[in-house]
Amino acid sequence: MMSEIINMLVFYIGLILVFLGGILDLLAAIGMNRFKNFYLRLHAATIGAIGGGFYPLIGLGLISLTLDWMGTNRFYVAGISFTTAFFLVLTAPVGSHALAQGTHKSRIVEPEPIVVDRLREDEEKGLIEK
Amino acid sequence: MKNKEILLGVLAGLIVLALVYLLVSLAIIIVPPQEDNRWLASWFLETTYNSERKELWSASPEVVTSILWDYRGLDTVYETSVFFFAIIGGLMLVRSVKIDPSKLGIRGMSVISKTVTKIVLVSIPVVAVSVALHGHLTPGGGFQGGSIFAVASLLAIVALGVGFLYRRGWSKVRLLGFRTMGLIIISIVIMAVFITGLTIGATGYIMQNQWKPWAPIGYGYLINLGLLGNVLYSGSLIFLNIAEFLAVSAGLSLAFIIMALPREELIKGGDLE
Repeated sequence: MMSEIINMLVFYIGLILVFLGGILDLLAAIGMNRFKNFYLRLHAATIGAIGGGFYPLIGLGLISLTLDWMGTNRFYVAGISFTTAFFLVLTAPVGSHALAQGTHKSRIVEPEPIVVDRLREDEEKGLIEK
Repeated sequence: MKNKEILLGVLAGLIVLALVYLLVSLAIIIVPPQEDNRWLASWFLETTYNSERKELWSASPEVVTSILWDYRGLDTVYETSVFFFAIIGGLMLVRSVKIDPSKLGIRGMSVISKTVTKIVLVSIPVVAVSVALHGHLTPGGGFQGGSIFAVASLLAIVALGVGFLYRRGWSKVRLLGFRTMGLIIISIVIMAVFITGLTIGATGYIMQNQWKPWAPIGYGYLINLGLLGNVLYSGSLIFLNIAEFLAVSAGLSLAFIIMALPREELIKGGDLE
């Protein structure tokens, strides 16, 4: 009885994560079209990668763990989902970071709207290379 | 400008629609219904791991690897040597370049990128080796594993700089040595049965894997590891996969390293500019 309740909880948590991923992916797509600046669009793209890739993968792994009719196959699905999610959450922010840093260094896009730009200050002080 | 973009978009959409319409309704590309396999496919599927017809089998459940390294193995050997000569030809272009590791002042990307790259860099070779070693059981093989490994070196070059690999001894000579070692292992494995057959006076073929009724020498396919039980290694397939993995990973890494050399190094001593 207890295990059934836990199973159901895990299943619905997974389902919620998948739906959340879909909604975040939609938001990211809207953001990609509406934001007017490279840096802002990068923010939307990262929402798409983490929100639209990481959450649904975790949810998929949780859902597949609760499905008894899959037999031992569910462990393969869950394992692959969790591993992929781990590497996604590890690499996607770094990809965005590298893009943003490269763009900032090469001065292709003016960062705006902007409150403070520590990178530019450090460059002017000579702490890091231009 | 705006109108032109809209026009282009609509045009691209129309072309895609027209192609889809042609594809679906007129069946320009005829996709045969996959109710049963064709004759050739079922022949291979029924013989590669059929222990009741040991005169035809290759002792591997993975049909593609069996075809690549057993049924048409010589073709793959030729492909490997063509790839080797392509790398050699590329190296000929930069043969006068002397690389001084201390002068490779490329520092790579930021600390964040470097840290995560080092984490990922550990896991990619693991995947590559497992793909190569399981080549006779699951889809994959030496070439695929080597390509995955080359991705790791490409990542290291981009994120950590060429100097990172050079300081760890990934020199031109050493990588070429690994590449050549792979090819030598391949040639030993494909000649071994033939030469053994010559010396003991039995029939043996070049590139032979399992024994045949008329050619009784072969590599075997099972090894007993005591507590670990029997392990299927599919005769020569695993050796050829390992050798190909060595050759491809070293060759592709070398190609990437040469491509990533700084331009000043490459034109030193030349007439350019």
